[in-house]
Amino acid sequence: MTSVTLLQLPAMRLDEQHFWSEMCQGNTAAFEKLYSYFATDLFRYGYRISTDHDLVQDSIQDLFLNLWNKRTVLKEVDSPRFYLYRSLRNKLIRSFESNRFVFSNDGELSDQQMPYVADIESCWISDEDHRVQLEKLHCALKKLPIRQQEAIQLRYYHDFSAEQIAQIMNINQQSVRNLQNRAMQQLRSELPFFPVSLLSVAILIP
Amino acid sequence: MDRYANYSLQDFLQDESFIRWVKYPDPESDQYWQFVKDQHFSNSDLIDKAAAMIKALAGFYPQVPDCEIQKGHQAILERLEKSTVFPLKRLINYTGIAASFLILSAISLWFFKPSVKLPFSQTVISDGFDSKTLSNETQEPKLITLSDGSTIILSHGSEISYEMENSARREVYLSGEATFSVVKNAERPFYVYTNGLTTKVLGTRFKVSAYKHTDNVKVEVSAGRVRVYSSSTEGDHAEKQGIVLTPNQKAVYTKKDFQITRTVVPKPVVLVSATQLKSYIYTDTPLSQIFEGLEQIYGIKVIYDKEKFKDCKLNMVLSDESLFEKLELIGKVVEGRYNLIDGQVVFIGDGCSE
Repeated sequence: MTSVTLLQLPAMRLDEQHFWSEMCQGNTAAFEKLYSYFATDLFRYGYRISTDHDLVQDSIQDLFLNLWNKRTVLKEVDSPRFYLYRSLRNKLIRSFESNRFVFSNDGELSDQQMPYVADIESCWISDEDHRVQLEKLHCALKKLPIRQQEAIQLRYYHDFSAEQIAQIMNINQQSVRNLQNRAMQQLRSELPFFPVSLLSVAILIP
Repeated sequence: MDRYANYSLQDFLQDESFIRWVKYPDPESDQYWQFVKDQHFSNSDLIDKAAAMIKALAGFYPQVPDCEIQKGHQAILERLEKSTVFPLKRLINYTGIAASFLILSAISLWFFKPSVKLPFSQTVISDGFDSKTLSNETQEPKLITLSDGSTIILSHGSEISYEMENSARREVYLSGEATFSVVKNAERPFYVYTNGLTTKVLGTRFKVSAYKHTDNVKVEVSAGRVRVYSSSTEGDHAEKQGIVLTPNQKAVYTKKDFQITRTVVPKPVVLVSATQLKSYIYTDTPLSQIFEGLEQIYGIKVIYDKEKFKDCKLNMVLSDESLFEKLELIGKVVEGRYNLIDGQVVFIGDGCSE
């Protein structure tokens, strides 16, 4: 069954620069705060691009341990958030164990990589729920190639700009737009009444 | 603003400031986008659709179980520990020291404030500065006297960092092991920060154990009152969410789920003087009086059905066995049994027939 989570706005943005520079100076409390703040979203990102959840777990652990060990040279990092996402993606890409990544010749995640059928079949739509439209949309999203899903999640859930997404995914900005446009086209064919029908649902979202 | 006149749905979906407004609206941007809507009335429906779409897309992310995140947290902690040359020491019991408490913390270096380590050259230091970090590199425990008169005995290989200049509170961050003798000052509570758990001292004696290899932090109180609460929540309500421990009560803080549970210490100590203790001798006395006696001696409340046990009368001397042995004994005599629930004794049974 698909579980649908409505958008939740963060009550307050952590002053990540402050905690980052504290962490660079060896403040373990700040380091721990950074973990608590970023871990959930990094896991959500990792799960999007890799089905190997143990690998995601290991990569996030390594990421934070590296962070601590290299803290003295990390002072120059402009956006900790961006740094963390990009590092996580690079780690996952580099791990050959990753069973979801299929590499094209340049070692990048292939555009053609489609999600596992098992993942799509888990989309079970409950007709008695008034959020059925939203579920349908998320279900349709899950059928998109992984890279399109990744671009959408980075944009609309993780709040990265097109420019940052391009750098995280190691492609140019136009490619990010293309990924997104192709995703939208496919969604339209998947959901013929979309997004008009969606509107009736979205209004229910406070 | 005219640029929105010919905007398509796709254009709105890719407009950074539009996305920001939909996800994080504020009065200023509300006003701006309302204005855009009014200006291009024909597009108003489009704007609503685009906003609905963004909201729906923003909810698209995989579910991650909380335990995975906790698991990562724990693993990072442990892997960091391994790579740190931080000697850990076994528990040393300083029970002889009056008004003191022992804090053990293997992982509390997480809460360590960054500061320069000072070589420990004096056995007694009176501080006159703001925040200090002291470590003990020698084999012997070292005594530190704080400006408020409280003393800290710092064990080998341990470090503390403390803030004594704040007029509202006295704060200590501990890594390793230390024994504290705190001078009571209700105006300036004394806080000890260890791994995930904050302990607030209200003038007392207690022990904290935060071993690295266990999944929990334990606080045992032998005198006075102590408030414990999770360090992960902040603000005044965090303290209110915590619990107060009275003598012979113990809190167990589970790191995994941030739960604090209250129970009774394994070996409750006698809180009255030896002379007083000898006076607790009962002959053919109602159970209610005996339970009252136990409450006075150990400070632990006994909850039972007064009506059911009203006919139970016992002969007992309370100065001999431990609290639990006495409860067992009472249980045998009146055919009842006890449970420890939330730091209290709950005694159940069918009562006595006359």
